[in-house]
Amino acid sequence: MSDYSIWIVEYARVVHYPVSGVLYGRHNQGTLVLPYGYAVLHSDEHLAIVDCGFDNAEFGKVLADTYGVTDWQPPEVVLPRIGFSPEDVDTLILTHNHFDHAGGIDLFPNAHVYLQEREVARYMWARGLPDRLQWLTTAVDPDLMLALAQRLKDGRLTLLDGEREVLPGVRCVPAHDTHTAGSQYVTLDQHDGRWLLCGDNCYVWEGFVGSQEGGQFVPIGLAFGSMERCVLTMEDMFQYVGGEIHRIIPFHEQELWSKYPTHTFEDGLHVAEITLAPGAASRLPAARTTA
Amino acid sequence: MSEPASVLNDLYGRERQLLLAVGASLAMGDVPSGALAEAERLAADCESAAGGGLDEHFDACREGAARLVELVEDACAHGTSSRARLEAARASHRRLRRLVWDVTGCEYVPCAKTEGVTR
Repeated sequence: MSDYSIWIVEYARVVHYPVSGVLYGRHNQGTLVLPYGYAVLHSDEHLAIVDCGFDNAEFGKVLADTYGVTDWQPPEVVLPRIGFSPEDVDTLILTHNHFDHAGGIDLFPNAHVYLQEREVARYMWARGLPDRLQWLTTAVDPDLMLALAQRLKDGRLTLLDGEREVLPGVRCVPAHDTHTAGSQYVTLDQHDGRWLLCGDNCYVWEGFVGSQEGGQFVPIGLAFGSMERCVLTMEDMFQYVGGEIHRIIPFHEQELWSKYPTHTFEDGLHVAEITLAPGAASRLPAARTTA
Repeated sequence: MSEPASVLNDLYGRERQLLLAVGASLAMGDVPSGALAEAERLAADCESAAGGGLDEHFDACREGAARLVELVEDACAHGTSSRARLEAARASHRRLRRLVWDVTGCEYVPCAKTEGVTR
């Protein structure tokens, strides 16, 4: 079994994000801080990331400004905080193709990219639809598809048709017709138990706790697929971790910083150390580490 | 929206939709041969677009459509597109997108201001 150390590196955030965008139906309940981050997995053999953020230029900058994203930092700033560089990343798993998760693939030039084939094929299907249905395509820019085509030419793109172990001990699990048509999440079964990197299949742990709904799951606030599939995917994830919801790691969860050992950097961004492989030393700076 | 702006928006929408499908096809290792006729129609329609002080924008439409045609032709001829064609298509799309967004705004969904918006 390969064991991985896991970190969540925050690369930007939205200070005022509507709660209704995070938890279904929570209208007029104010805003919360929404971190933007991606996962870093390190073993003796591999340095992988799950999602890759965005490039804060052109398309990415326009969307970031529209969303109110602040404090963006590039991979060459946030990865060295735990001793890595973007060029060292050999594997990039994309949970889905939205800009804040997949818009930075050019920033990781040496990574082999994995995502679900359905997340790409859906845009060929959509070409045949009338203009009035093009809302279905407007969460993705063509530039990303062309970037993926370039990766394919380089022999560094694999489109997955369902569940697959892409690295020893790292599995991609499809969650189709949820947040997006071809979403997936990532599971690791290792020495200290199971971990699950959920992409946008859950934004915050509160969706699982459902504290205001009598213990029911509350799905995400935005889905291109169905809410039914979102809830059933939450159940799949919940079962995978045996009900230990803090083993499900949402990249937009600000509670990560209090639940796991975390360092806050001078720009206000965080790195959370989720787990360490046997024998691996902490990569967090000792000072100002919380929890 | 003025008539020229509406034309610009329509041409951009067609370019965007077609390039998205062509890019997806290429990323899947397929040849987007079925897109060639549509790309050529788009290029032809861009030729006559003008007015409204949007010359630079319509020029970007023509360039984007031309690079799209070349991309598809290249893929049809060789079974795949060259890096140069892919990069040219990316660059022309980025230019067109930037100019269009100055006129009609960003079409990205969900794209909403997160505060200070009321109806």
